[in-house]
Amino acid sequence: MRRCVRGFNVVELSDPRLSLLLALADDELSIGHRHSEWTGWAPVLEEDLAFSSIAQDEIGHATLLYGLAHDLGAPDPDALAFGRKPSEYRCASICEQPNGDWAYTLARHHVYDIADDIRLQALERSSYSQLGDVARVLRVEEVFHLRHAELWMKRLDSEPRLRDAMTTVLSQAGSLFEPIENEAQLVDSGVMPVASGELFEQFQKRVGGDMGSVPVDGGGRRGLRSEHFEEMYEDMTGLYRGHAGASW
Amino acid sequence: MSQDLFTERRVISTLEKVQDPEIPVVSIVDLGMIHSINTAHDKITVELLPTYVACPATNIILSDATAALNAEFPEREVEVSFSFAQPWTTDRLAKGADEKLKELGISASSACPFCGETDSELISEFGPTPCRSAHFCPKCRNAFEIFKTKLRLAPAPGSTNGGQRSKQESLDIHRK
Repeated sequence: MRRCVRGFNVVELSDPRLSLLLALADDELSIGHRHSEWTGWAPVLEEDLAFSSIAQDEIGHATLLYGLAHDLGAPDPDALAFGRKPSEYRCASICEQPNGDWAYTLARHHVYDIADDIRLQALERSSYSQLGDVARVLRVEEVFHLRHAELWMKRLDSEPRLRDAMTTVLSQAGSLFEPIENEAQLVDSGVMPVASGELFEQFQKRVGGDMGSVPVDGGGRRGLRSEHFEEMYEDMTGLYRGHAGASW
Repeated sequence: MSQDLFTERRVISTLEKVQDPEIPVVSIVDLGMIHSINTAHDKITVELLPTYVACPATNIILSDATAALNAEFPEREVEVSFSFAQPWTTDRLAKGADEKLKELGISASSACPFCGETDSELISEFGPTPCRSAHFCPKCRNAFEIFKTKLRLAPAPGSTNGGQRSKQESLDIHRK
């Protein structure tokens, strides 16, 4: 079900699966957009290519997930990606943070892709079979992102700036595991085979940190957005919203 | 539902002429992109597996395949779409595809396509297209690309296939 409020596409979460799809897709779209901001600016040409490709992948993955939401009655992928008001986005707060420097970018890339791998592994077993299929497809592609990040983490292992950046990123990573809206229903029905809290525990084991038993609730999954999102939102959606109905 | 094998072979021959726009020496059949062909009820329905979900070549492939089938079967309705029923993986490449890739200087193994040296240096997992990684050969000192190996991943420990609908396996026309 959808309705328009002052030109925005509002998505009513009549189907709890929409909460999950939008959270996943909004994460991919936001991190993809942030990665794309390195195009033309990365420190070396090969990384300009790499981050542009990774950005393209993430936005392509978001498109697939928005497509599933559209199949459940939400607006089309373009309208979902660019046509909602900021409070309707459900991305984790870590995804909307600005790129900062190369160290922060690499640390976040590494941590985000580990978190994504953990949740995609779980979603492969979803009772929502179309999402299970998509998770399987995405995970095979995300392997290259993981390897890329690992290569950089090894290369810069002894760099103090990277270690500091990892500390900052790990303090924000919990936002990826805040409970999704309607999560209880999603877990009961098997759409989410593993709850966010348990995914968070798996994540902590894999990164070797102890971030407590409950992820910090920054509100990203409930639509609480920061000023960083507002600035990204203008850049990402301005063209689409400025030319309603245009085709490219 | 009846499947006309003669028509199916015609569909495959038609699609053998649809090349990857970024790697024009290989066809979408060589790449193992065909998931299913249905020729029942005077309609040609083809499902393709995208090599990489976000690759911009995939939309061009979709329209090229549709146009080719429309030209070959003007009297029938044609529908070509992408399926995500399973990931596309490099083990679907047809025999002989790696020789074709070498013509463009792309290696499908870890060996340098120019001198055969197997111990190359990885520059980046990401090359000029989503499907290729960038390498440097210390022996002949050429930069070259490898068609990245992309394989199905093992399911997470403790998972079962119970509850998964049975999937139509992709057509096995790729391994000649």
